[in-house]
Amino acid sequence: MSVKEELKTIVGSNHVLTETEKLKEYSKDFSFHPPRMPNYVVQPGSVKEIQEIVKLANKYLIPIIPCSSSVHFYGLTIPEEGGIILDLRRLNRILEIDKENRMVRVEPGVTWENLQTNLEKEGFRVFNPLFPHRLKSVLTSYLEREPMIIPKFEYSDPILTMEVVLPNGDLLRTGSAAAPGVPDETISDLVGPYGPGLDFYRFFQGAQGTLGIVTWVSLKMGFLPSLKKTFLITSNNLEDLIELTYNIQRLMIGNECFIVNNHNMANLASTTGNPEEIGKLREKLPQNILVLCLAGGYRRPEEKIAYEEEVLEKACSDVKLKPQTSLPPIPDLSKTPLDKLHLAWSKDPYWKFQYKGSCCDIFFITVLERVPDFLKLAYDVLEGEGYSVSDLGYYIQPLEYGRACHCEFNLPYDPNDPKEIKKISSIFEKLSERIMANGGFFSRPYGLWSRIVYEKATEYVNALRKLKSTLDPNNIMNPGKIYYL
Amino acid sequence: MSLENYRYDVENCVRCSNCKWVDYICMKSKRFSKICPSHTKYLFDVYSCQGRMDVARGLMNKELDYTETVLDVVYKCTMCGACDIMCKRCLDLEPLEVLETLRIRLVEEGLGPMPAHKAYIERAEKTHNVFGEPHEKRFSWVPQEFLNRKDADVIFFVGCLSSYRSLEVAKATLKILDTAGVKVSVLTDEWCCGSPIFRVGDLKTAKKLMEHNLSLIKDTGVNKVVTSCAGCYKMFKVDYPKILGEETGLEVAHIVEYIDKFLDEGKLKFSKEVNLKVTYHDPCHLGRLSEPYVFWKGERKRYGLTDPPKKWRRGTYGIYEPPRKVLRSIPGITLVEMERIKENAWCCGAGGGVMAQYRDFAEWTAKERIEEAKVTGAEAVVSCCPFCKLNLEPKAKEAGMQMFDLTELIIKALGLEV
Amino acid sequence: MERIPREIYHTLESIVGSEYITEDPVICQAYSRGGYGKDIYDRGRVRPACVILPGCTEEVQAIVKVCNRYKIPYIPVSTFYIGFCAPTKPYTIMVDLKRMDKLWINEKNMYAVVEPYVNYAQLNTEALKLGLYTNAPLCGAQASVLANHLFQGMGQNVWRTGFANKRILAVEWVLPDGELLHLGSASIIKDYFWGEGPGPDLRGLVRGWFGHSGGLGIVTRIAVKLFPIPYRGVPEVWGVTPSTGFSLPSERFRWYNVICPTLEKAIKFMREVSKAEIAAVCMRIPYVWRYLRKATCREELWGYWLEDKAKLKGQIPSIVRVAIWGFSSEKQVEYEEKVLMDIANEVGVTVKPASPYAAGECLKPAASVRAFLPGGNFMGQKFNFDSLDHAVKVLKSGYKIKRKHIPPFMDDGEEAGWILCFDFGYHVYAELDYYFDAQEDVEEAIKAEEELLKDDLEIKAYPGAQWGHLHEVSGPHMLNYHKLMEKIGKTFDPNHLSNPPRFIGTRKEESTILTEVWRKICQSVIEEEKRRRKNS
Repeated sequence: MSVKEELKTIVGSNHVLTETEKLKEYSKDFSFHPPRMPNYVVQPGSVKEIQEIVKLANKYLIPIIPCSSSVHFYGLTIPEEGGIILDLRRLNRILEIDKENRMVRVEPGVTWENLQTNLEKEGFRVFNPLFPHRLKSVLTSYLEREPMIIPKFEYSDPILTMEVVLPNGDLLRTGSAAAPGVPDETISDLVGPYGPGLDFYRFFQGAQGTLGIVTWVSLKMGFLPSLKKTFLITSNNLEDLIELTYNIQRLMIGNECFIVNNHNMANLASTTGNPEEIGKLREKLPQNILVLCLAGGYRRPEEKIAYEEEVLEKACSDVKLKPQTSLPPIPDLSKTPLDKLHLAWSKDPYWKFQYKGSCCDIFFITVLERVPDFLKLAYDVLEGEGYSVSDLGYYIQPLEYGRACHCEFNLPYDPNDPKEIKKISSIFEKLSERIMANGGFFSRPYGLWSRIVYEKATEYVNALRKLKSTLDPNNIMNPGKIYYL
Repeated sequence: MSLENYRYDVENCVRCSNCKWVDYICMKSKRFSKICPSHTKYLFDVYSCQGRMDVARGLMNKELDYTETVLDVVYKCTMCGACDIMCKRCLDLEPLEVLETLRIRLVEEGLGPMPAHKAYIERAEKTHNVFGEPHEKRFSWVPQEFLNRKDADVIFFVGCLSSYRSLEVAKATLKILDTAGVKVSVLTDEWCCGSPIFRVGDLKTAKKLMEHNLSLIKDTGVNKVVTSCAGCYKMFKVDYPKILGEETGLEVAHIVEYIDKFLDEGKLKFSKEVNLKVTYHDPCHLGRLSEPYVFWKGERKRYGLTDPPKKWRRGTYGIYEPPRKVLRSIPGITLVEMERIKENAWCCGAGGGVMAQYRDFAEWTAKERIEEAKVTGAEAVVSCCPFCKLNLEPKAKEAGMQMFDLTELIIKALGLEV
Repeated sequence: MERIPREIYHTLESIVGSEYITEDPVICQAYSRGGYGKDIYDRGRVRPACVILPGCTEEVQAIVKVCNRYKIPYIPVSTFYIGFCAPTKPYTIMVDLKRMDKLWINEKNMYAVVEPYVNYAQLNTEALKLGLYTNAPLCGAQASVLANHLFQGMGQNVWRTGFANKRILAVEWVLPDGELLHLGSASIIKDYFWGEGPGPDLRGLVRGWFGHSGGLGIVTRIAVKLFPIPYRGVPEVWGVTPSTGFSLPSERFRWYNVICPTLEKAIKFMREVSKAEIAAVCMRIPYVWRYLRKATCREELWGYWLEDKAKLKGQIPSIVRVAIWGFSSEKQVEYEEKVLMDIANEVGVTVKPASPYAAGECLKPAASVRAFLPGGNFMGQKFNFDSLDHAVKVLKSGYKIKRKHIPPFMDDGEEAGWILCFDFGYHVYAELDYYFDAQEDVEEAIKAEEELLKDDLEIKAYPGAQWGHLHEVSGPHMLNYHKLMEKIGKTFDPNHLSNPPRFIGTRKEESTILTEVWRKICQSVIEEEKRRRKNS
């Protein structure tokens, strides 16, 4: 029996795709990653099927590339060495919403749009990145450690437990999900992340599908505040806003908190998404805008917002700034997507793509006080390459009370203009290398970053290799995706 | 005093390390966070109280032989008792008594004490003082009217160090007592109190000295004894009853307690300003270890309950406040505190026979204390013990600081001279 | 006495200098037993063959490489309070990390970088001066910050700071074979501010629910998170030993004891406080701890306890300790106090103000060793980590087992135990303690330990006792995770030398074999040494 036939036996013939056109869809994404074809696309419908596929892949030494979203931005699911795309979108159930324990358990195919809309009805939310693509898998977002826009304590790390098919086909459940009898007979509520034995749940984060296939994940969810008040604090001086962010985070007030520049704010606040309107709006906006959402508590929401607002006023006045609920170019926040920061981006095109059709992102972790240095660096590179600096979007996401931040540069470009693509590719490479040389930390090393990061992190690569060879002796899982691994 | 009597204390050390650090609540910086000089200097865990408990256990269980290293471990300790007091914050054990008993044991085995200790013990036996000076010299400085005074109310037990090396302290003390109108007597047949000897484990010799001194005092019919030395003070107040197995019948006080009382009663009045910023060093024997000895004869029952219930000396009632109160009352004096004070004080480094046998360790310990004192911005370090003064003074001078015994400042403030 | 062959000893000596190495049995004796869990976790202990005090990471690395070359087991220790670090294999080298005690605090970005011999008392003392703090463990502020982050991480403030696993940022780590590894940002830029990646997060190896107890190499430096606290300075101390404390300004710091008539009400109360996301501390404390904390001696503890227990007639209340800190303002305190009272009224529990000196015990716990007061030894058990409901179920079930062992265990009248919530109650920890006679009841305690673990498996709970030999017991019931650990152990510690067999008990056979191999390798050297000694 051929591999194809064997795969069909496992998942049914409808769920094995081999037509070139179909395969092509999986060979490229929005990144600059060179297109590569898979040999098969398989759409399993159960964990058991996944386990069997993995065993088969081991038998024939065929790579497996797990894939859970309908959109991809960073080339993670493009096969490096052919193989089977394991399309997990059929596993799209919200397995449970446990309100008492504020936990939701989802399969890989559950999208941001699906989950947040469903949770909203129940008065809950999970902690989300800044307007994720509506078709993006929630599970992937978390595994890839996308930064959450609420920098409160550990909300940037909301994974509780997970179930994983290991590269040899064995099953592993992490944290309290390892308890006997999970999921139906156990008394565990699947909310304890640690153990058993080791913190296995960490391995699969940032792994780009190279260490296992996560089949469900349980996540922290929070109450959707019954009352909230969103403030915009603007300054043309980024340093001032950064200082203010440090202070706000140390005072531990508010929920969502992030800084964007005028370009990104125009993208987010535009009602039409029309590039011209975005361009005009951008001109009217101050250079930097700090968005802070004060949220009422589960009890006495008004009183909570009242004292937090007082604290915010004081913190702002200390740096001679003023919190506002609207700006002249954005008179009514409730008419913009910013009113519902917990939702996915519901419109097409995606917010980053509105201006020019596509967008190249460069993001890394640093400390807030260093962001202005990196911004200068970005301007320097952009000017050198003749890229219009006013088109640059940036997004600064404080993490964990401002202990660190996710700094993201967004470079809109026209995907149909080969010259622009070339220019952007060159900027991407130069800027990334300079950021790295200046101490920016690419904690999620995709594509090119994988090479430049791991070239330097030799000790880390050595240890990763050991782990990889232990879990995946046949190197089945997404081989070649992490450079040097 | 058999080591076996302390088996429970030894076996129930829980290795919590409380014996190594100042009370966490009282900790004021990382720099001055340690409390055990021995462990801080010698690093290996065996040089901490919990490590020494392991050695005691090893010896009792015959897992260890009595070797040179045992001596080194047991004697490289100033017996400052910080470990004991820190341990007793949580546990009902007697670590310091274990350390004392270990030394006694080593002497019984014919191994201890160390050569320098043996030398001063021999001198003490011959000349009744640890320096080997002629006995007559002991009281040569005392005005005749105070010698063996018949109408005395109080006996001033001078001690070896004050008699031979720190005369300024002895003279100051006598002057203060006299100024306050105390009928004070110095006994010409006073011998070494035995503290340096008992501290290194020579129970037999210490006992001889004790018996002599007690009988001498008893013959005078006076039951009040005052000392200017924290070592003598603790020896009389705590160790004599311990060795004797019963109360001595003496009322023992340190001169600072008297001064405190005299000031309250108006018997002493300061007439001169002493313009000085000072910091106070708590002598271990006056501070955390000065609570009266508590007799207990009983056994450990189930759950380690003591039967009859034992009362514990936890360092709560040490003489911490009187010296501070007295210092504050001296016109012109500003008292600034070091980080490690009272029960948390870092030892001066002189005690436990360390100054005699391990000069470098004693100096190192003193240097550490003076560094702490220096940080306060004080010009002078004040203590209430000639041993502390002797050991700290050279390091204080190196650091550009002055060193006083409290009695010296009192003399200045009284406008007197000695 | 098994001595390490001279050649090897001299090599080690040349790494650290003769001052910092010894094989003197007297000195080694002090490294042969554990404190917490003594006679239980350190069963089968032997005196180590050698103690070495490296002064820097390079020295640690060199030592570990020598150990690998000659197949000598080694154990890293810093404060060495826990019995898991007691040597059980012949020829063991204790790597005492005491000389490595540097501490750096980055005030602006709220983290500290610590070497192994920095304790919580030191860290919180220095951090408080900068308006920062971290959770101090219930075992006491003398615990090494590094070791505790790698092994445990309970404490009063976990309500906000979370469990220690999540407080670890970048790590410097000498792997079991001597290779150096930096995690997080330190992997590339030698800056310790960030812990994840690059890529897959290898912090997963550095610990689990419990840590590897030095079973996976020697961590030489870690960055840990610090958190803002609305106070800056050195608080004034109140009292004298053994009763000391400090308070923090009452406008911003309030402490309460919430008296709940039943366990169920305590749980309901804690759940509501979780949902409201208020407070800085919220944990259930065993009732007997009121006595443990206040007793001036063991006899008084038993006396008062037995008297009061009789009066309570089995109706022992559940006490929940709550603290409210005004992180942002005094008005936050007012707001949270109102919410707290709302909840208390709704649930039917009584909120009583507690001593302001609770601040000292919270940030620099000193009294925790009093757990040993009732009988000279105690055991924490269960350690389950999941939800509030899970905590109640495991504790109640565990209590039935504990009951069977009373007496000889002290009857602390406690139907539950410690219940600690993390991250505003998203995770919950349950611990059941039993106090017993250190001399007589150890075997009974060991028996209870095993029964309690088996109870978890039986009721299909998530077992918390996850260390060494216990993985073997739970592994088969939990998708054989222990086999995976075994594989990882073999990959990273091919010679099985890092505190064997504490990482994973199932490797015990192999380690013996390896020691045999080493014995053979070194036999000639040993013989030669013997001859030399005989001749001299």
